[in-house]
Amino acid sequence: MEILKETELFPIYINRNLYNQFHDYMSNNRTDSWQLIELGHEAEKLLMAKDFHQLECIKHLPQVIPYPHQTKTAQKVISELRGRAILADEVGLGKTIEAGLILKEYMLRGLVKKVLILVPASLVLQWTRELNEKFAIPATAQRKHYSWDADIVVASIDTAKRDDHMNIILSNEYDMLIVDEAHKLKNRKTKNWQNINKIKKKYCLLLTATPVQNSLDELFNLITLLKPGQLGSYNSFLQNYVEQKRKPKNKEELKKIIDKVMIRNKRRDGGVEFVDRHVHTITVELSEPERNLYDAVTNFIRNHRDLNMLSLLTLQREVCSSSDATFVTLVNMLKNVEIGSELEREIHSILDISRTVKEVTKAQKLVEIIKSINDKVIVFTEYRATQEFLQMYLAHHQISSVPYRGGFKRGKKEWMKDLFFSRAQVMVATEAGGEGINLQFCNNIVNYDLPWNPMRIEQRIGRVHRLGQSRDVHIYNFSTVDTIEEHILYLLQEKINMFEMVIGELDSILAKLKMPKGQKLESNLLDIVYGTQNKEELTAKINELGEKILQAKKDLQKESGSIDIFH
Amino acid sequence: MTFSTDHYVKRYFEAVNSKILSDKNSPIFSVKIPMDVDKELTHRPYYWMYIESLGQQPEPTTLHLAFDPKVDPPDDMDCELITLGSIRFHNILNSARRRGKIGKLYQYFPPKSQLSRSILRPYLLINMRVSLIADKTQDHLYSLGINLQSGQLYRNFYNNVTMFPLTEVAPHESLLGQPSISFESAISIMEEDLCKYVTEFDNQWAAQASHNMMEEIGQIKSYYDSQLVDLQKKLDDITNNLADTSQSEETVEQNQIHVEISNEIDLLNFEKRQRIDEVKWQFSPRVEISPYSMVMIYMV
Repeated sequence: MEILKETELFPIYINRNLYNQFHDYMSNNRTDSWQLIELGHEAEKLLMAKDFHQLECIKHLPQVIPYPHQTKTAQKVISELRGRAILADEVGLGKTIEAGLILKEYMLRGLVKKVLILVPASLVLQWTRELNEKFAIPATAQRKHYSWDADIVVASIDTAKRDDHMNIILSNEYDMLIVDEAHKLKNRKTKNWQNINKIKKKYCLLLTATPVQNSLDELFNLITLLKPGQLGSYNSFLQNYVEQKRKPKNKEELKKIIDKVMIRNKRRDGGVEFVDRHVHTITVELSEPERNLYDAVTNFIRNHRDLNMLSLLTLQREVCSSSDATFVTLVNMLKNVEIGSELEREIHSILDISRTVKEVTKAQKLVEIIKSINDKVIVFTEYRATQEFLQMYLAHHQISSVPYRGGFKRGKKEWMKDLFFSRAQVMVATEAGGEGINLQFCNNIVNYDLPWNPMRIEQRIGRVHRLGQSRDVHIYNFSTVDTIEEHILYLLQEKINMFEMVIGELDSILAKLKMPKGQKLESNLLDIVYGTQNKEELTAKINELGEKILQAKKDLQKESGSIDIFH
Repeated sequence: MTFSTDHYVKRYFEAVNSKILSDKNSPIFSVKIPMDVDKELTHRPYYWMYIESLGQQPEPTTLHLAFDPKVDPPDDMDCELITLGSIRFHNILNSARRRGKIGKLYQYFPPKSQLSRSILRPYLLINMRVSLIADKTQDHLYSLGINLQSGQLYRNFYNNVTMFPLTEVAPHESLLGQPSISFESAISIMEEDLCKYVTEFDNQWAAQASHNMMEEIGQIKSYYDSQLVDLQKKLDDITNNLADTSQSEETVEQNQIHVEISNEIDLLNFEKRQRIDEVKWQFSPRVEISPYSMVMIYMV
């Protein structure tokens, strides 16, 4: 490009390469065919951006049928937000699709060539594949040092932050930077935040479902990455817009400013249709040997509160899952026990009882359910031993299944998903994987055992109950009569109705209760289980905990006007 | 305008001399492509390097293309669906752009007509894309022609000229008028008009982009400056303190803080510059003109 003229408002550049080529052709008496010249002209016509605002990319993307809110978001980011935005849709509304549309649009218009996409490690392949397959964007997953040379690189944030990688990134200028799960950049004191802040970029998209979790500061920090000064200096931000850590003031004004850098679509805004959830409870009565085992383990735990709490907790939960899982843990415990001790004798006697369990009532029920569903089912369990047992058990009953574990490498996870899609009726999974794979083609979930942490249950449901699920979702829970599990299910299902909650709601409730991610709730439950002497007391305590959660839910709804500053 | 990928792709393969294997009405279009076309449509440089190093003449590739997603190809056929968005189709578009740039055309008259003995005047046609670029873009296709004898300019030349029957077959040399204007001066006359053409556009887009740019730069400046002022004040205080007091443990500590604040100021200044550069990069309005085809046309 050479400068042709400098006008008051803009310079005019021209590319003169073609003149020389023309000269050469003429002197060699050479020409291109007229038909090709016409085809070339038609290609230009097809590829040109006819309008500043219109989304050109939609017609080029037959593999994507975007939802109206996604198209609207992409349009708005380009024409009003000037290409720097926080995409803050609630989980499951398709932020990735929105980012893909925006990226594709800029690429078609020739405004973006060099792109850096930073995502959690578990999502690198998924992003790469979606961009290639759905958007025909030739993205490369970062694997080797030379991968950085590619025009469009998808890398994990943790890999990118290593000095040798960061130095390469910082030596580049990126037409577009995309960061997924951007809530990891909430704290400006962290290395991650500072690194991202140093990257040279033209357009920038930050994707997060939770732009504000604990404090309005987080929002300030995210926006500063995009447009420093949008909210004024930090001090004036505090002065003008923050009443308390989580409570904004001058809401209207703040909202107006935030609307210029952030778009948040919510389920209840409509336009997005969601299928219904149906919750089924399967009641199981333990057989006599199973009951003996359960009682033996429960007594054992009660009498040995001096032992390693973690293994006791595990044991207590495992005994509701399968005798196999219990067996493995007990055998492991034996390794740390003094030989010939009373403890060793006790453990051996439980092991003896566990050997008397010949038929697993729950597994029998599971086979019944799977057969009656007669469609794809995901069975979730917390334990590896249960998983292995179930796979064998299902195979024995001529039901094809694939395993799925958090420990699988990325490629293997994808492979198992494909196998499940094409060959198997059942997937037996130990991990819901917070940011993992999507399994919308399946609409049945069985919670073979219940995690004590409700967040993990929500993640399980989130695998199938998301955008793109076209059928109603069925959730099957086991309730084993007269066990802890019965109480947990009562708490989660009857008391707080968690299976009916919208995704994301539970997260806010637990945060409100100062039990972030639900881990504290787990230990609370354990305390209740051990601290009570009889069933009546246990029920009362569980009810009390349930009331606390319900109260938090109510408070949250009352406050939602002030915490959720966006609507 | 409805665009038919089907029609476009078939015309393309005819134009690049590929052998069409399928029936005219077959739902799957099969075509054997020559090596040079293959190189432009399939991205596999290592394969070609390998073939060339062996000095082999590879069997030409056959492509099977479908344009309707409802088409169900036989299991053993490697058939691909061509849509507006597919990478293959974009390769085809780009190949056509690369191969269709420079030509020579003559007004066609039926051999027996009186006009077939007329002298044809030389014109130069340039087709170009004019892109208005800021943080957003808009493209215009523009076509300019010049009579190489009189120097007269014709806007929208391509559409006007293609209304006449044209041929690639040259008439007898004696019928071709000679240009009296050099190529260089023709170009400079045309470029002068181009500038005029561009400034005739509504400037709103550029004014708006400049306005947005200034707004963003202002915001960045005030954000960093407010911090820089505070830090500078702190720094000055320390400098004054240091001047007042004599050597002590305290001064060592103060010196340390002094260095830290100076570093922070440098960092902020660096960041501020970078953010401003980014905004300029993003918003600075400019116009880029890219000629994509040039044709000599001889007409009455």
